[in-house]
Amino acid sequence: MWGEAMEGFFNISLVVEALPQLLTRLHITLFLVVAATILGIVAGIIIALLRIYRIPGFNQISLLYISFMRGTPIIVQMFIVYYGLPAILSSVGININRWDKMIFLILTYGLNMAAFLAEIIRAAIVSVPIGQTEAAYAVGMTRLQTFWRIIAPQAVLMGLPSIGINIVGLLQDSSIAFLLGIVDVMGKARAIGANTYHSLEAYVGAAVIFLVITLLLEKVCATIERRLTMKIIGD
Amino acid sequence: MIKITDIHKAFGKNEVLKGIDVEVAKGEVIVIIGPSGSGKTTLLRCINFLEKADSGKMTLGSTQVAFKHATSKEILAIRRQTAMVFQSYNLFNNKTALENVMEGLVTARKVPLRQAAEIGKNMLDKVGLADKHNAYPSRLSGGQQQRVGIARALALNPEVILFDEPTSALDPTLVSEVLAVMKKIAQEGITMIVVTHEMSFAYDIANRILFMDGGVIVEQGTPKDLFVNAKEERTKQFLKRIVPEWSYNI
Amino acid sequence: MNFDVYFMLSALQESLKYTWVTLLLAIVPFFFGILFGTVIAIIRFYRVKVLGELLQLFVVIIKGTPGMVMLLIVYFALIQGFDTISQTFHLAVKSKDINLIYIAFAALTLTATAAISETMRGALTAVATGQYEASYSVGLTKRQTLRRIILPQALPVAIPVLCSNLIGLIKGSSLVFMISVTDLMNAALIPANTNYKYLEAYIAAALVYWVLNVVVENIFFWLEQHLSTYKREVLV
Ligand SMILES: Nc1ncnc2c1ncn2[C@@H]1O[C@H](COP(=O)(O)OP(=O)(O)OP(=O)(O)O)[C@@H](O)[C@H]1O
Ligand SMILES: [Mg+2]
Repeated sequence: MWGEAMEGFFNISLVVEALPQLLTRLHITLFLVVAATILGIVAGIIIALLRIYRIPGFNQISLLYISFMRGTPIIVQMFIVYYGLPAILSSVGININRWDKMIFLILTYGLNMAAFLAEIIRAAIVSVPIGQTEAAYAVGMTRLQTFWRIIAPQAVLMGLPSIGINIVGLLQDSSIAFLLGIVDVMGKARAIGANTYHSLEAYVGAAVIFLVITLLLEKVCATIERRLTMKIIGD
Repeated sequence: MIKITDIHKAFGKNEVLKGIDVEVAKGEVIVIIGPSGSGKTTLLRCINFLEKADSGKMTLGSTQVAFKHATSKEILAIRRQTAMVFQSYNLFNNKTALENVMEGLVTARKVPLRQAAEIGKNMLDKVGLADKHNAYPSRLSGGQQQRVGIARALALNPEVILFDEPTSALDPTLVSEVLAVMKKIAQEGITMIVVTHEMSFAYDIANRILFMDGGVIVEQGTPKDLFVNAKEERTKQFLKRIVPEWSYNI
Repeated sequence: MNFDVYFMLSALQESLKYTWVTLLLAIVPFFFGILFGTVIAIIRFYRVKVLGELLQLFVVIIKGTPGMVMLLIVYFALIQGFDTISQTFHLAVKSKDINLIYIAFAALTLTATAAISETMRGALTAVATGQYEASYSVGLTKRQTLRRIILPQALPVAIPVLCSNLIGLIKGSSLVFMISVTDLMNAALIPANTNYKYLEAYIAAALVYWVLNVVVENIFFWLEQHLSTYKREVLV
């Protein structure tokens, strides 16, 4: 009787059954992560540079932006973008109601990541000893040459571990994207749950996928870090 | 060849250089000595604009600049005629020894890669690092790093090389290998301005020694003039404090 | 664009009424997280056999599971588990009778424990090995070393990370609307369900979260200054 009851409660074979179905939607999750990461890195670098070179007026705005992005839940940000962006754009006559939901998600996650990365990148850049800049100037390099050839490669090394942690964080955050109605891994898990009344097994299946991807990502990041360190400072 | 007139520099209220004139002839080796905080480093850093002096003028080769109003183009021109050896080496951490030496040639002077590599290798051989071309700074001892620093400066074939206490961050046992290299290039007729606390070395290589204190040049002359027959009381006091360290070394 | 400021303000008012729920949802798991997390960190730090490895597995699994997934798993597991048990033993209570906030506590505590154990382990590692060797050399036991030398130094290192952990919990607690717990976000949304002014509601919630987290950050900053005074004393 107990075993039977247990079966009704949690059936591991249902998890195994759910996995292939969930995996058919993995590309959606990964696409979101990759696209948002690219947006996040580009925007993060821009914000960091504007802050380092103290572009007047921009510093306060970017501090406010960073503080907001770090101080509010991503789910709130997601819905503000989802409801707010069409409202703002329609007031200037642009209709984006038919935009793919993925665009809102990429924007949300990318802009969120940019805020976190801006701080990481800024810290990485300013942590390169001033002597490196001085030596570059002393051999006659320009500001731009100094930045790209001497500072940036060393900053990349300093920032890499934190960037990796943020990408993993983004993957985990993507687990709420299905609330907008896209069918990624989580969206599929919800659908399976609704159809089979076995939500627990479906979500456990999703957890397994997230866990495996997280571990893989961590492994990849560590490898890249090791390779780049070897390549950049030979150690 | 270098002529600096009436250079002034203050950090906030702290006046560090209070009107200094220096003239250096081609091939001359100038050593600057003086107590800590007297403005030696600041003077060197003003010459290649790592620090912006408040007033004064400089002529270097065919370039003439007013320190205060130098344009970024002029600054670059000055920097491309000078080189610097830093107290803390400041080798580019992301470059091998050879790449460190080539970097200024390739990026700043647009020397073709092959030619730059050629020059770089020669310079590293010259400072006794023939076997370390491909080592990253993290794998070099302090003395080796500083010799790469010297090779990097030499490779640029500048009008003048500025040395700021190039041996004071080194273990005593490593000092001599760097001084030997410096002595060698001094004898080759390269123009050098050297800040150092190594008095016997100064005595050895200097054509002229400047004694700085409180932001001015108190006294200058040949090593003999200064070490044996100093005129100014401040110079005598300073030398008296350090004489025991070097007198029996000469 | 017609943005209803008045509605936003009323949503703001609603969320402020339920801010204590959010705080509770963050602080209770934070407290247990520190408790369990520190123990796990110490066990793993000293590489206790078997137990250390099991705990490592636990931490890796929990950390690899997103908060949303964790919440849903704990929810369905507890609800279904509870009903299974009560059916099996013919009990009168049903899962409907459980206050759902306990499910939220359970899920958030799991997440917090894993995260904070990593914080604490990092802080323990950050204390230089010289400190351990010096302690042993003057004859302190392992336990004494930990209590008197290591933890006091590890704590200031941990404070800023603990701050991020707490902020993460405050933000993460917003997911409890999934299991119909009324926290500050859900409170702002409820009035919006009738007039669809969701943007106003989410902005109201965002403002409260933002202020809350800035306050938390400042408290921790003050704490950090306070706790690391010994550093300055040493330098004098
Ligand atoms: N970036 C700076 N900002 C403020 N003050 C500075 C700065 N650099 C140097 N100073 C001040 O200028 C004065 C001269 O410094 P400088 O480094 O030129 O001395 P120095 O003769 O090289 O001394 P040492 O022999 O110790 O290297 C000192 O009082 C120092 O505190
Ligand atoms: Mg100096």
